[in-house]
Amino acid sequence: MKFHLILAALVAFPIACQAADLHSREQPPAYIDASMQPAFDTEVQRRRDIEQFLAPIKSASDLQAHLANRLGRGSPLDALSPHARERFLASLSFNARGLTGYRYDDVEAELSVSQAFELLGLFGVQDTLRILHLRQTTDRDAQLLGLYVNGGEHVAADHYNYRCASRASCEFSRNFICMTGCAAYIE
Amino acid sequence: MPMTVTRHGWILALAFGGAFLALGGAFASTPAPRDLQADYDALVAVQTRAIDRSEAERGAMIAASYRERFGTLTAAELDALPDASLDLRFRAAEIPVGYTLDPYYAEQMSAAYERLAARSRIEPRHRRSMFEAWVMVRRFDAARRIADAAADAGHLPLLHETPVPSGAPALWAPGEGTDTLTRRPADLTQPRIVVVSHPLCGFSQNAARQIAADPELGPRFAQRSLWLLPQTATLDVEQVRAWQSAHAPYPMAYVDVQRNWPGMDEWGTPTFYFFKGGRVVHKVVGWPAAGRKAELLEGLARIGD
Repeated sequence: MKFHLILAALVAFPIACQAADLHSREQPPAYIDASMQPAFDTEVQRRRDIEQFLAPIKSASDLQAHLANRLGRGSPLDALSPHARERFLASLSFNARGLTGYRYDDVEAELSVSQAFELLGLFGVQDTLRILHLRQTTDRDAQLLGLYVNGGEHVAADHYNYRCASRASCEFSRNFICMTGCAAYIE
Repeated sequence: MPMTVTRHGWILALAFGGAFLALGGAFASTPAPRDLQADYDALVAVQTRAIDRSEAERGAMIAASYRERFGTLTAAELDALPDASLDLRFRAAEIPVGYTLDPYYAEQMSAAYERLAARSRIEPRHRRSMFEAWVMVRRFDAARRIADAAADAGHLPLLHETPVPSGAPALWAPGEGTDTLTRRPADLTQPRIVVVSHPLCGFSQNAARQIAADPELGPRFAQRSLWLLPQTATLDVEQVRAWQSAHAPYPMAYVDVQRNWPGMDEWGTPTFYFFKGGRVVHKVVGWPAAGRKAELLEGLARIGD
């Protein structure tokens, strides 16, 4: 039952965000109905799994296809400056399930919460917003952050400033986030 | 017709020439605003290349790159940097802090931080990074000043320091209070296993679970192991307590200063160090799905257990 609620919320949420965004051009502020927030407290990992499953980019080849078709044509990656984009792209690592880690310093330095949400949503890791320090400039930024910060702290365990190493260990790696679950797939 | 120059003409020419030279000199002495993006790219590339090196080599490579690209900027040059470049210099100094644990780089960050603050360019990420750098190099007073000024910078528990001989290995263990860490010396003279680990590391979690469930390893680790967090940027008592209650009876604590722990040259998690007579006699790195039971048993045999 919970799974269905979460899935419904995941499908409805981007549509609601888009609708709210369009609406906001005429009547601010953008508004996300609190009743649409699923029970994140106990379902963070499950939500991550679903978000990664639904993400458009789950592998290096998906990424190449996205760059070929979308870069410069409304891709969330367009929000990063060329230098920052190159650094971000070079940092991405994948396993069979999807993204396992990324470099966050340029995301924090150049993007707002909403822009980062869209960028990380490409990979289904938008819930890592809760550990980034991003600029909040709009009501939508605050709402998105509230949605992901509340309840995420007790379950998700992304390893901030660490990277999964090939020796089945976590190694210090400044500005990287080693995603939850990479331990299960790195063997 | 030959061209003649009058006296007034010479005077005018000399005046213009002098002014031109003076202006040229002024332009020559004012450096063009420096774009540090390419320097930052180079530093990040070194950081990436260093991944497969030993921790000591990694720190040396990253420090050398930083010093070459950013370390030579004078105070006047820092003052002249545009905001974006000053921000990059701050971010650049942040990279070697955690690899070297050298306060010099936190001080480099601080120099940029103060200038960004004077320009009202401080964002939450700057406060968080500056706070974390001071915690990492164990300058707790400086970290607390940042945290006291802005709650979003980070949180520092109450720290009780008991006397520890200079250079001796020490740790910060959860104290009596709910949000307290107490520093105390570590006794490595008795045979023991120090497991460098982290509550958020999946490999560490798997190791603790599997070792506890193993009838040969579980009781011996309960008697002899200390689960030690590296010299991290955060000190989270609640996280350590949660880990301890999930993996009782294995005690967990934060290292004070890594370099004071003899023979421990790798701080990836988990890494198992077997100590006998104050010396490391065996080391096991990582925890794959199948575990490393044979290697751990070998280590136990070497410390006489």
